[in-house]
Amino acid sequence: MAERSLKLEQAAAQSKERRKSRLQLKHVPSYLFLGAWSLFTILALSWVVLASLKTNREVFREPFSFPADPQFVNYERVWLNSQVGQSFLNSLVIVGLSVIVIIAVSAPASYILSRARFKGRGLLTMVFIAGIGIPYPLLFIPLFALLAGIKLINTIPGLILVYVSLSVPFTVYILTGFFSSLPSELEDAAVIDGATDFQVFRKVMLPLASPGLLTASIFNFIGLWNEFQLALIFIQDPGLRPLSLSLYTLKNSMTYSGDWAGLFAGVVIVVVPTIILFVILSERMISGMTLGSVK
Amino acid sequence: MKVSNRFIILLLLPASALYLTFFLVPTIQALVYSLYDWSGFGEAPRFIGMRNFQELMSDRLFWTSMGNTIAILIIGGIVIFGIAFVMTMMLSSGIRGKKFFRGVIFLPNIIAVIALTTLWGYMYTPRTGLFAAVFDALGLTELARFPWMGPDTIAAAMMIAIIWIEVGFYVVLLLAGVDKIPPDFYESAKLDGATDFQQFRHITVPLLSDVIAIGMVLWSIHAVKIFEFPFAFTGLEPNPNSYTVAVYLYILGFGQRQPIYRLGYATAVGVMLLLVVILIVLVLRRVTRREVYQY
Amino acid sequence: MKKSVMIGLILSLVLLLSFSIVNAQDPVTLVYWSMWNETEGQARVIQDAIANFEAANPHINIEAVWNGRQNQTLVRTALSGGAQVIDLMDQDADQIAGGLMKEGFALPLNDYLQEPALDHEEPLADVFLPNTLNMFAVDGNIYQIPYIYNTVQFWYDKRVFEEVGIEVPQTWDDLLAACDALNAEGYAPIAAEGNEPGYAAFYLTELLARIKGPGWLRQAAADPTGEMWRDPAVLDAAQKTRQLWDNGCVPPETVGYVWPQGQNTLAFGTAAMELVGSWLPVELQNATDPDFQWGGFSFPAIEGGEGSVTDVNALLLSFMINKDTAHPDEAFDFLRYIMSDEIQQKFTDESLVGVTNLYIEWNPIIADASAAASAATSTYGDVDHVASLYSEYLNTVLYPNYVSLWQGSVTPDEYVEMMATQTAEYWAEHPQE
Repeated sequence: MAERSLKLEQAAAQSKERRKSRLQLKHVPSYLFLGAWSLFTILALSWVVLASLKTNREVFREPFSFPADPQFVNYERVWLNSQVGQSFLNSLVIVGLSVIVIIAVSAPASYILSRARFKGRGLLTMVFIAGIGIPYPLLFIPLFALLAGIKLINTIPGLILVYVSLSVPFTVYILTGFFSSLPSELEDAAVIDGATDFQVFRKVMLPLASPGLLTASIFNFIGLWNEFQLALIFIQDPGLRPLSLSLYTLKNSMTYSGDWAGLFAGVVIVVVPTIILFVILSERMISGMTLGSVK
Repeated sequence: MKVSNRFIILLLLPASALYLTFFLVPTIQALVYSLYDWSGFGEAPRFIGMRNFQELMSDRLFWTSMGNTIAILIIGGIVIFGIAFVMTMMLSSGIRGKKFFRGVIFLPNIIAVIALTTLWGYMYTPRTGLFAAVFDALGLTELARFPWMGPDTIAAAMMIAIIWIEVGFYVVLLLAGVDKIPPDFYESAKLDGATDFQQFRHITVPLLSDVIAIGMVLWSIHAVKIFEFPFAFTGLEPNPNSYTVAVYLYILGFGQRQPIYRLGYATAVGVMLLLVVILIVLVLRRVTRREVYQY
Repeated sequence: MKKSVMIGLILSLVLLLSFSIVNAQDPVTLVYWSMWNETEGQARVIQDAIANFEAANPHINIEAVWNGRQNQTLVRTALSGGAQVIDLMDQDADQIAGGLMKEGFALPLNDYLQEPALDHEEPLADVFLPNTLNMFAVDGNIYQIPYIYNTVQFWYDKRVFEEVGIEVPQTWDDLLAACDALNAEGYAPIAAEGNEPGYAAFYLTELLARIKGPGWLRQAAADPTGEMWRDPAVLDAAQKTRQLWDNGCVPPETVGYVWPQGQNTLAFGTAAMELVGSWLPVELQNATDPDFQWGGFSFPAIEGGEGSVTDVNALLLSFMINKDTAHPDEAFDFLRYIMSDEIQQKFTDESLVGVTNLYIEWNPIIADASAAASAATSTYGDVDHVASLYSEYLNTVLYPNYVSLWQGSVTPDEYVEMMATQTAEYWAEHPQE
């Protein structure tokens, strides 16, 4: 018995090995291409980190050397002289609240659009989804005039309002897809048990749709975290700037004073938290992202 | 499912109200404003009919920016999908480190674009930039002095950077689609003696058609509003050679150091952008209207 | 736990109350939106000035918002937003003149300017260097307080000039000869940005000012027929522009330089000079060697030209008071302080820029700018005032075409033709009042 299983194991191992070696030869171009691409990305980003620790003269004169004497003072200077910290908080507040509100308004609407039967449902769904195709730049000026009228220019609630409204179509698109793919048995059972409309939605369907809600949240979070053009138009006060806008200011300010090392330090400060978040969440993010769009 | 009308209205209301007020109404306003000469918020717009559009026809900067936007959309799109396809094929061929490669290739997507413009701007610098340093090290002094960001090549230089940023998103999307294809499809194809390429051509591509369609729609919508990269890529002000329509619209509507405030004219530019989107949607619908494979 | 919270609350209430009693004589808040970024030297001087001013006037509080160079657009946008109060702002004088001032947002300052200066007997108006305060006056009304004075000159690396053994060029031919000498020693003679319209246009402005005298370019820009562009002077200026590239004064890879990559080549010692504002030394102070020696010389004379080397392209930076401010007196008091010897001295000492107060000696690093400014027989603004007078024309016709010439995409003859026809087209579509 033992002998046999040993033999089997050996056979399995052998065939595995054979398969692997064959596979690896075939895979050489793949490794080369993907490896080169990844290497470029990694080197480029590491170069930024390296540059952030150099003196300004070193950045340009010895682009490939390691910093002779790491200039952590670059980080100190950027942190003290810019509002990166404040912007980080602003971004958290703006993006966090926006995502919550986006989901809070889009989920019920998507539920109704995909599960309730009423006249004009198809048309209404189309009207919602059509919004995806409207390019934001078209709205810059009318939205500015509108927000100016209700005194919400240059305010965080104003920007959140814009973010939420403009994100509704895409979120509805993802979520209707989700809700309509849910089985109706549980819903029917709940109705038979005497649940009210709201209970069916809140207690049965919403939990079932939670992977979809997560997907939609992740999509919106990534999109809004780096959003720049709307923030540029609707926020003027530096104290209210989200991170992307703050980084732009930093870029301008550092290039005007020729402080390239400082600029790269600023880039690192802004980008690293995002990358760490990505490394921790990437599996979830990527699988979540594709849940919705690939059904 | 049957639910009460009150419930329907209640759940639809928040999303509809926001969408209507801050998205649909501004869109319609934009169509109206584009027929006006309007020199500032708070000023009275003056009706001028189609004059803005007539002026656009002979506006060189508008056509440059439209050319760049279309180039990004079509050429960039073809290259991005081409590379993404190759990468997807490679990643799904059973190589090791699939998740690592996927993560690194996706990485630029989550980094603030302004940070990436800084990096690329530095890489392209003649003589002292990163590419120049590499070419110098290889003894290619001519290439080391090549003006990548000169007038003839800046749009291409920008395109390369944009491709590098965007590819990862579509790799993730396509890969998720591939992962959902039942493995026995490939098993039986292998039994029939199909080569890898044949499998890809006759199983992967057809079964991915809906994912590809979604990907193309997402790319088109994203591509027509690209703003951050050209906006922050160059020097003191965005460079007219690398304007996209979104940037030109912003410059016309708000200005840089000097306010311009051609609000009606800028909105007309936005309307042209909308026309482009409508055109794309019509084309894509024709192209992708094929039988949907069910599995 | 609860008790401590209560005590804390009461304490802070008492503190708040006592504060409001002390400051009972109507506190004033001035909101100042700035063209500077917080990290820049000029911003630090203004921060000090604000601190001192607030200490001397305890009831005034100045809220500064550091916007950077898009300040004017942000101010304009925020003002049209309707909710934001902005009392004071600053920006390039030309840009204010063509922007907020033209749109009627600026407060006339003539009466204030007749009051005495802070540390001199005479009226504040007389403290300014000649040809500065009135540069953008409209019908005798003054709307701006220029406080920083930049000259456009060739800024050069003195050690390189010495090493190669060249004198400061006096004429166009001298300049070309200097280029040859520098090239022979392996230097890139002239540093420039490849596609910075404002920087490239310094050449057009200076060439035409030297050939036809200041004021001609602005007439040509406003010529509704566009025919003035067919004047041989334009072709001459266009040919001289290309000459710089064809003779190797400007190295060919320059077209790929995106600001500040071009000026960096000067800082790193590969290039020798650049035609640009006197702000260059301060922008490059982090990039140059500590013992870098700056020199400046005025754009050389052109044989047979009507202009003089003492005509100075002066790019001023100005404060402007919003006409709707609730506190014009306090706002002007602050500007009076900005113009005081103390603060003006600080600007030039600490942030290495030229200033408009005539009693102040400029920082030695820009001594040559100072010499040019005090010897100026006439001054003209950005692009010979085209920037302030016809900003849209500048951005849609003058800049793009000159950049095409600058980068060699069109020949001088084509350039002349393009300017003549497009200027006529522009004015046909935008009739002048």
